[in-house]
Amino acid sequence: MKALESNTIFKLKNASFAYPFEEPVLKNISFSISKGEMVSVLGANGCGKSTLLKIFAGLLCPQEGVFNAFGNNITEELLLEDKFSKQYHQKIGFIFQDSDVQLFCSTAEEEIAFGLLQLGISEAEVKERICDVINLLNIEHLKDKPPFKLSGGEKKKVAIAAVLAMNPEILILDEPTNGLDPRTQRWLAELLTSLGSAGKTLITSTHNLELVQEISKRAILFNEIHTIAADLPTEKLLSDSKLLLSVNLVDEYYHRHEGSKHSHFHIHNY
Amino acid sequence: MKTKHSQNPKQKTNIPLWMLKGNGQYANIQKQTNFLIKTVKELSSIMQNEILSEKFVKSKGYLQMINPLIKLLTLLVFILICSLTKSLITLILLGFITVSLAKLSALNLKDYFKRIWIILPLLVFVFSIPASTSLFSKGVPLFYIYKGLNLNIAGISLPTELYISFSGLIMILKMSLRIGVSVSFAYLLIMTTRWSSITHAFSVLRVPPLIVTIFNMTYRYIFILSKIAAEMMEARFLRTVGSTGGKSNRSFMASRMSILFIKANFLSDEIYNAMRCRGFCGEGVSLYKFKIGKADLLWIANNILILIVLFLGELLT
Repeated sequence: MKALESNTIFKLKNASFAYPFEEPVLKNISFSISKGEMVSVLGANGCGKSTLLKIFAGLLCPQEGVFNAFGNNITEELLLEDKFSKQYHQKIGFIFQDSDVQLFCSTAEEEIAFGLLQLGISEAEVKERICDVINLLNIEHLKDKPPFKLSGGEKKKVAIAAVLAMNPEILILDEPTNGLDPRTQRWLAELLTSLGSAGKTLITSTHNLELVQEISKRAILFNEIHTIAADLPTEKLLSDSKLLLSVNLVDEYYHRHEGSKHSHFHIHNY
Repeated sequence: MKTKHSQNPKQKTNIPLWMLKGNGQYANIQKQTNFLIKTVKELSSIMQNEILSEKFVKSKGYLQMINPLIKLLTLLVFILICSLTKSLITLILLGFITVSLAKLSALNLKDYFKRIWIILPLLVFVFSIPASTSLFSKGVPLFYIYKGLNLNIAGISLPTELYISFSGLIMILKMSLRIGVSVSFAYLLIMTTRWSSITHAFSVLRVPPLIVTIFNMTYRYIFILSKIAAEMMEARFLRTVGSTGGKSNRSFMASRMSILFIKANFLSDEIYNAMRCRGFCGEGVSLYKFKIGKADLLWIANNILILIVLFLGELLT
């Protein structure tokens, strides 16, 4: 894998993607993401956010256009090379929308160890990292539990622990707050903010507009015709309710309450 | 016919008026036996509570102490012997060994017999009874079905006598035992060993990564699929007011199975992607390293002794 010449880690140029026998879910997408950025990907359901994240995670490859990651033009053949694939996935941590598909080992501890063992890390270091990440997320009590006996929030915590243990440079999160209670959502926002401040690159796809302003400084908005409607600083994008309305992300009742330190969106049903 | 809607100006969504009223009592509510829901739920529960949660792996039994690689190799040797032997006594001895190992490994013997011996071997035995008759295996008669008959049906003349032969009965008994013993060894391995250790052992034994991946994938999404199947059954049960006929049930089952196949395809993609994201390239790994201890040496010595006895027994018979 080539060394980074600039700070750019991902670059898409006129990229398009369509699933077999279906209409394109991404059309002519061009933008880049630099190291340490905190980016949110917004858009209505089915606009192509998850597909975009899967391209960044090296799970899909655009059929048209160029996808450059870490200075390499990514092709399907390149991703199928074991050595390249391992190096690529070591740099990227992907948190799936559905934690059930991400938790496939017998216990939470084995789940956290899975990625580390795949990377060939020594047994002593694996155990040390497991211990550290368990303490970081405060999930000691979940260590020996099988994943399907965990609640939604606990599953998300174990999934995050499994990814953080691999110490990825980039964290990609697909709808991370889906199905989480408010307390766990708060915990997650704080964790992501800390990781972002520590220099990790964060790319999050979400519908949760409250979360967006906390965990990102830049927001990329998709419209329903699968192209980019806007790529703006988060504050500016969230202030433009007409723009959000035009892509069907919010309705006409949606508005923002500005405060001295905190602002939020909500609905008045009258 | 046009549906009437609520005229409440505060409500943005036009809710049909019938939805705002309660339902009366439906006439044709009948009690139903939902054996399908029960079966799927039970399957899901066994998968969850016993196999996937590795309930017995954590108990301090005999097989749990054995190095997974040595255990896998030994049990495979036993399965091989079971497939090759022609001796009924050897098969009975092997059957006795499986029961003893189940007991020593703190497994629930009632469940063991129910799941292994009551279903498959018994069914094979019952369905193979025609093969033990004089039509297929001649020999010393054990039990006559009929004797001295000269029947001719549609130009086909039936044999004058039909009996179950001793050799035929032994043959089907061996077949059932062979199945029971082989499944028992596989059951003992799965119930007393972590799945990650089994696949790691396969990798050590140079089983191709593709096969190891298939094992991993099967294990990993079987629970999610059984959960989806149970939920589909429940969803139908909750929407079933009257009685449903056999045809409707069969049609429902067929359509659910096809949906399950489609979901399985989607899930296998997603789980494989999740595994790839964490560096998986087809190799089985385990947090628990294989170390040979005293228990393993004792196990090897015991099994060599058993194999010698079985081998001598085979030679003598």
